[in-house]
Amino acid sequence: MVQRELVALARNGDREAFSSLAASVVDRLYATAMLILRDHSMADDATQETIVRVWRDLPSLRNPDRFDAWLRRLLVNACRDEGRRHRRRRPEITLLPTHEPVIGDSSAGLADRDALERGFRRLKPDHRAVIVLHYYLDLSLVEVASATSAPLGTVKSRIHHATRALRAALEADARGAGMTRGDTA
Amino acid sequence: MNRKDDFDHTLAAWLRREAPPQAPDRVLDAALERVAAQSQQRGWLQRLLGETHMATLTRVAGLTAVIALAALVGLQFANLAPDIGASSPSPSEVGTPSAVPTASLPAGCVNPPTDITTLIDLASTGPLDPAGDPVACYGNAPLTFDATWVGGGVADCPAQPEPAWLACSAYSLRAVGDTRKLGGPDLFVAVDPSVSFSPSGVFSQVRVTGHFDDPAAQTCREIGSMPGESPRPAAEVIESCRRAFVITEVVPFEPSPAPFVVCVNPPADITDLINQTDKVACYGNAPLTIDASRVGFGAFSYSCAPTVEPTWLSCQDAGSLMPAGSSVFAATFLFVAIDPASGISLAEYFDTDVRITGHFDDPAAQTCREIEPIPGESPRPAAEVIESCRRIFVVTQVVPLAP
Repeated sequence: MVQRELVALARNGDREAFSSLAASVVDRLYATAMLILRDHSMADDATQETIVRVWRDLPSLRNPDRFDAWLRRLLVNACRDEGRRHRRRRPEITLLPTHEPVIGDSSAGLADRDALERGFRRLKPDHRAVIVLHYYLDLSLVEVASATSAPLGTVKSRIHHATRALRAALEADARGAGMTRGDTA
Repeated sequence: MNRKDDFDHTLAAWLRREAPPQAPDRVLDAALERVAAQSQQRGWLQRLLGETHMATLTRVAGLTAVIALAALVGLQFANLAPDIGASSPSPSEVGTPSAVPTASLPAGCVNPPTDITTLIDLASTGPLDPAGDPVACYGNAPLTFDATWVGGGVADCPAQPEPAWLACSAYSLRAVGDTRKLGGPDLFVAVDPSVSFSPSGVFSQVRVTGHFDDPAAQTCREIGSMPGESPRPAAEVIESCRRAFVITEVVPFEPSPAPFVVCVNPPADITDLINQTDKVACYGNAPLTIDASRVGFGAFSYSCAPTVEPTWLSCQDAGSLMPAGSSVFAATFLFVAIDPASGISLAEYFDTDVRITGHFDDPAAQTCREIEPIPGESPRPAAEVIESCRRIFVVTQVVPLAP
């Protein structure tokens, strides 16, 4: 059954259809939440909360064709709420399955990955969100604006500053500075 | 998507590599368990009109009745509303309670709003999220609150909505005192074209009066649509316009002077440093040692305006410190600077409790000068620039605390 039909059925209270719908999107939701929040436990909670909100508010979705955009907005809101709510704690260490390298990707070496990781963690969650939506989900800036409920100008500004910070992290690493000090002039 | 260079490719590849390929089973299991215990939430319109199987004719009749009822309620609100341009409100009128009865308000609705933050939180749930419906919360009752005027600019509205002043406004407000150039949560607002006002400049403090559900919302329409999307239904366009906050009056607002904070020297903890309003008078440039948590949200992700040299001191990209154990997203921070010549780096202490030694009133503060002011504003006097640099905490030693 295609997603549109599942959405239509779930919107009318069909729990079986909703379970199938949730199963079809949970991996994508979790991956996105994990990238934005950088914390397994928070990503768990944000993903769960998104699925619950989808069920609760699905009757308000008038056009099933807009489900994906609506879903992204709920996820970004859930990540934002989770970030606000969560008490600070030490990062947990979880062994993840090794991912297959992306074919043709020879540029993201270990040093780059470390530098990006450090730079990415230093970004504000709102800035991480626009980066993930634009570069990971491959959304246009207009779609990112819709998902984050922010004006297009704000999204452009966030992308600009976030990428500048990440570029600076890579450049600092390339210089062998060993720190993520960026160009913030 | 515009992939311009190797950096974009590297970033996209890194994100794909970092993304977990699948969610743990527990996530879906726990979510569906919660869903099993919940019924779906029907909107107020659906509740009034019944479920989706209602005959179209009956729905139309019901909708007409609802619109008539809304018009009646709107007229009553209009009778209660003061004239636009009336004299500025007294402080006691700030946060005027709405006439909306609280008994039927949706969850999450704070009526009357405590301040602009309440409205920002409500709006941040998304323009069409039923959990954040300001019209349900406040109707079109006049609301008055204090805010920081962030100004306008050029709005980019691909769907070409009309009237543009309402549906494509670039104006926004922030919480009082929030003058960050980027990163501050905004409340996007429209300004009634019949209102003449002239806020003194970006980041000026203002007292605004306005309302949701402006009558002009009923005339909202979109000429085009968002790229790649079909045109929105007319009712949805009107609904989103009703949720816009329309300013009817703006008056300059002088915030209360910062409250006097007793000088605690030596500081008991980092909170004393954060709260102290006159840091130089309290601590001079004596070395201070405090325990804190290092967090990664430095000025790194903000632009630094105005540009003041030396940037290592004025544009504190070294990082920020907060009280140990507090929430990253709720705590107040002490942004710190590090002289690059010292060789110290906070980067290696990300998310770590540390013992920090440093001082205010660094000698380099006397060399501070503004190279480029905030766009649209005049340069600050030299003495004011130096004074702001003297209030910056410069780190001279970092020792990690045992976990």
